[in-house]
Amino acid sequence: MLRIECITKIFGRGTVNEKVALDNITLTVKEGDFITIIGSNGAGKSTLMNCISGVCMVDTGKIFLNDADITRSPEYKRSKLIGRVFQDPLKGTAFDMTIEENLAIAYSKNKTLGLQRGLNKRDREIFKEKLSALGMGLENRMKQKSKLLSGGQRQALTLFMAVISNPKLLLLDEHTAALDPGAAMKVLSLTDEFSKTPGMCTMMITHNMKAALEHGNRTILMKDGKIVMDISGEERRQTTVEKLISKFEIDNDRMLL
Amino acid sequence: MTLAALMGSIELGLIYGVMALGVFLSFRTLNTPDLTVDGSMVTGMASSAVMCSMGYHPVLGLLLSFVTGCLAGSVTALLNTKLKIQPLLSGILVMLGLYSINLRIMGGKSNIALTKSDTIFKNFSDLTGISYSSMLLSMIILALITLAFYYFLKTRLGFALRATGDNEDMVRASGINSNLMRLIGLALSNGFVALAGGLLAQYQSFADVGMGVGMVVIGLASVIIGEVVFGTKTLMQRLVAVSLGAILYRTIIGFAFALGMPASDLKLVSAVIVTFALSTGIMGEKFSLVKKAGESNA
Repeated sequence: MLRIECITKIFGRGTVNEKVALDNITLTVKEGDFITIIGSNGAGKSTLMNCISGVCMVDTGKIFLNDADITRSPEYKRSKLIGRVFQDPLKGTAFDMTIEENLAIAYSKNKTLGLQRGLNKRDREIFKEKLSALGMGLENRMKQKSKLLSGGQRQALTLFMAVISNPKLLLLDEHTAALDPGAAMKVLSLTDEFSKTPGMCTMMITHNMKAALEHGNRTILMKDGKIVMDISGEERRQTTVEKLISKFEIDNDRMLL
Repeated sequence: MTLAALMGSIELGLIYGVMALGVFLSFRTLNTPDLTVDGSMVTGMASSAVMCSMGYHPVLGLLLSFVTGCLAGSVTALLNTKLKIQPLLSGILVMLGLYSINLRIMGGKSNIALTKSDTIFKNFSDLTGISYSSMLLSMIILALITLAFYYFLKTRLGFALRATGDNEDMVRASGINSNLMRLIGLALSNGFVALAGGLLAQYQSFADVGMGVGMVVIGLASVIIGEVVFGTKTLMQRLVAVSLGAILYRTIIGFAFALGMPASDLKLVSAVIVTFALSTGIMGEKFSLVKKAGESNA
């Protein structure tokens, strides 16, 4: 479904600050896959996601999504097939618009953008029904502005918005890092649920090694712009947080949490 | 202040209301203060005045005003999105360039009088034969444009525009070309500003190339005053507030004139009003916090 071939990304090429963020990475993600990505700061996890989503362009290599070459297509065009949740809960919604208006924008992602009514009764009913499935009471607050939501509610809403238009790929960049443990758990369980959507694959960056092994079906460890470990199936089931640490001398305390 | 002067202020305010709505579109909806306004307002005046003076139907003149304004706004948006020039600077550049273009539109003359030409205000007055027909006509026009704004901002495209001002990352992640949204937003914004210019030229039967100076400040003042006095709770309330803000601003200025303020001090007073409004936290973070508290209590 997602095929990445030999991509390289170098920031500040030719300067003293030259930084190889992605070093010849090749990766294939199959439909239904839920990959968790770990690695210390600066390992290239976010750059990988930014290159896939089109926030930055790769220097060399190719990216295919759904068999189409998207290497050079602009961010907004790729977004039609990619749902994203950012680390910062403020980045996912338009704060001065109501919850239902935010949903309407996400819902009409693959529809023509014109002078149709932004929201009709049928949309509202669909949103209400789907929102109540989140179990956060958002279905009764649809006319409230999204800036009134808590961080956890906002991330849940953003996650919901990311999958509402049936994307092929869901990219989650530390989407629970800014949340309290309770809210993080709630958002993670929603993530598990949504990742089962047919015809979609999911990639999640996390600094929580326990979560990385508990969620999803495949785990990737990145270091210095390379994928240094890629485990799934039985091997992954046998792996514990301790084993990971001893194996890769992870020196970042934050990752132990 | 005499009744006639008050009525005059209100009439002017109704026309400036159209401009304030245009400024609202860039300043609030797109979250970009757009200085093109100082130039595009005059472009609208020039287009409409030239058409009228050449004997074309005045409505055609207004249409041309709108179109030229849209073009001016598009140039600003392209400078900003394609050449990556900061929004403020893009606006200043286009505003400066427009000065020459405006003179060219006006055939090299710095002003055009329409005393002998048809204008929509004269036509409407002949048609209805009532006193204060200009006020009635301006009122109808402003009301129609306010309604159009309301419905437009409730469309799918309108949602996308509003979200672009709120959160561009989210807009791009939603598969929307945020640069195109900026283009459409700035084009429409300046289109309405120029339309207001066209109306103004026909209302006062006069167009002058120097009339645009400080228009953006008057627009901002109207938006801010309107929002503070009349509230921003719903979109409709907000739009009406902006329109009324322009009328209120004009009335205040009218009173100041009546109290003996020299006309030459007008720009200074406008600048002081806007500075005061901006500095007291009426705009920006403080304001949204106040609003937040109010909304959660409600």
